[in-house]
Amino acid sequence: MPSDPQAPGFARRTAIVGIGQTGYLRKSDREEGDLALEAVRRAAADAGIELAEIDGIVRYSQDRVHEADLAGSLGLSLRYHGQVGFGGQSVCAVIGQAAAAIHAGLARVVVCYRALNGRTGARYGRAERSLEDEGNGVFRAGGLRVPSGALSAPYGLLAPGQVMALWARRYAHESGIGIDVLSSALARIAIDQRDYATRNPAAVMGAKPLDLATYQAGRMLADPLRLHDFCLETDGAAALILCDSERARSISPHPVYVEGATQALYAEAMEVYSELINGPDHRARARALFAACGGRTARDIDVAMLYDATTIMVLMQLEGYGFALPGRAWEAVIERGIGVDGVLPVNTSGGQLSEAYVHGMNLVLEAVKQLRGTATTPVPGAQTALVGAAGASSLVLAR
Amino acid sequence: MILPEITPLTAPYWAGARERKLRLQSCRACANVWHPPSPGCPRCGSPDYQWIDAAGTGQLHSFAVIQAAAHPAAQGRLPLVVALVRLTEGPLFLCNLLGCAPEDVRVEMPVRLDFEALTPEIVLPQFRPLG
Ligand SMILES: [Zn+2]
Repeated sequence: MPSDPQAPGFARRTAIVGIGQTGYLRKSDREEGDLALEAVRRAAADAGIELAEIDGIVRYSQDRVHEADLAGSLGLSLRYHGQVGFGGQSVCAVIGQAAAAIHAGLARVVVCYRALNGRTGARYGRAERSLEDEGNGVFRAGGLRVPSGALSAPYGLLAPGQVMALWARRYAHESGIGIDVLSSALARIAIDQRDYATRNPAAVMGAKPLDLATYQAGRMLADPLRLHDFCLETDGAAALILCDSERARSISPHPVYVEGATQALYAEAMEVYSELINGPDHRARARALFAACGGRTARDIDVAMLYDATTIMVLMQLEGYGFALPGRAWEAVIERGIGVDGVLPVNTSGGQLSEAYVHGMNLVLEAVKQLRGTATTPVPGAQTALVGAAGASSLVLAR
Repeated sequence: MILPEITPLTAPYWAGARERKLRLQSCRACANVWHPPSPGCPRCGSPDYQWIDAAGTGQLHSFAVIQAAAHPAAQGRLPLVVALVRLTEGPLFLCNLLGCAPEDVRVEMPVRLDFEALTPEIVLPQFRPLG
């Protein structure tokens, strides 16, 4: 049983006061550094602070925009900078580290960002970025646990989404359902998220409603997962700014407090050999996180952003975070969906399936918008939001 | 063709595969058996391990039928059954399922070890249906 996931006194000591995003596009025609600058400038303007007040940066280690370049381009004088390993699975830990740095007095105003040309640059759904081209049609794969590693790429397993196809079939088996039933649940997730996207002008897929026939006609990419089970590939950037709560109240009409954040490595989400992300360890860790956030439970979460590289991740996280019984989320989703009146409103911007793929940072921004009451599909009365990256990192935010 | 990078840690594994053996690490301190290779025991942290030959049996834990390649080098092999096998020794093992049409694959089906030579030096441990 995990112990308290964070030090006492962490909750509500820091808050998100600014958010900024670029346009989410298939082709930005801009450098990633330029995208990062725009998102950070917009976040600072949203917060109503001068750029020079930013004295900390926390970013994903996978971001190709170096903190020194960003600081140099914005004239920042930093007291603290840090990176969190990996990509999207670390999104909540990036925010958690920023909050911890402020709480510890290492910095006063910290910016977090993710900038990527995910369609025209390094594509995370493909293996070109990870295989070494030795010429004469020979490619070399390294690493032992990752998709496209030495023990998987020679077998044709090359992308995280293909690992999730393995999860999907195992989930159906353990839940005692056929692939046809599983597909009904996954379709509902894809369709409901697309429905959210149609109300979100920033969503890449906002003009393309999705119905069941279109979902079913989607090409099978990694059976049992089809085209619409997979996230988008996006060029764009998103950023947010945190500061201590006292300052937040003085500058923001709607500070969004960091209640708690956790990080894990035991379940590195994209690992080839990992257990399913709805297991007992995940559920215990989620309960401990919610309890540390002012004695909450899953019932106190009004809206959730669940990392959606694929639909199956969303389905399993509903169980992993305790919103559905183990092995039963498929049933709840088929009956009620994930719309505003569903099992739980999930990925209300359209998420990474239908808004944009920004390694989860857009999901955090959407959680902030929900708690500010400015989301394009508002969840009435939303007080508490979860951002979940499959248990590899998790974040609870509240008004 | 996609070939594995071979490191000092994994050299015994690939040497075993050339001799048509699936080699796993086994902890001398706690008897844990694991895969993929790592320099210490995932259960107790001991660096004192030996390589053992797997029995070559297991059950299909899960599978996916890859129908869209994520790299041009995999394009010519589609559709491709990628499978996770729960080895009799305990660890999960990633492979292709040989000798079985995609529509006949079943989770939990018993499987047995086989091998596929990519080059004279690189042999992949594989699995196929038992019997
Ligand atoms: Zn051991």
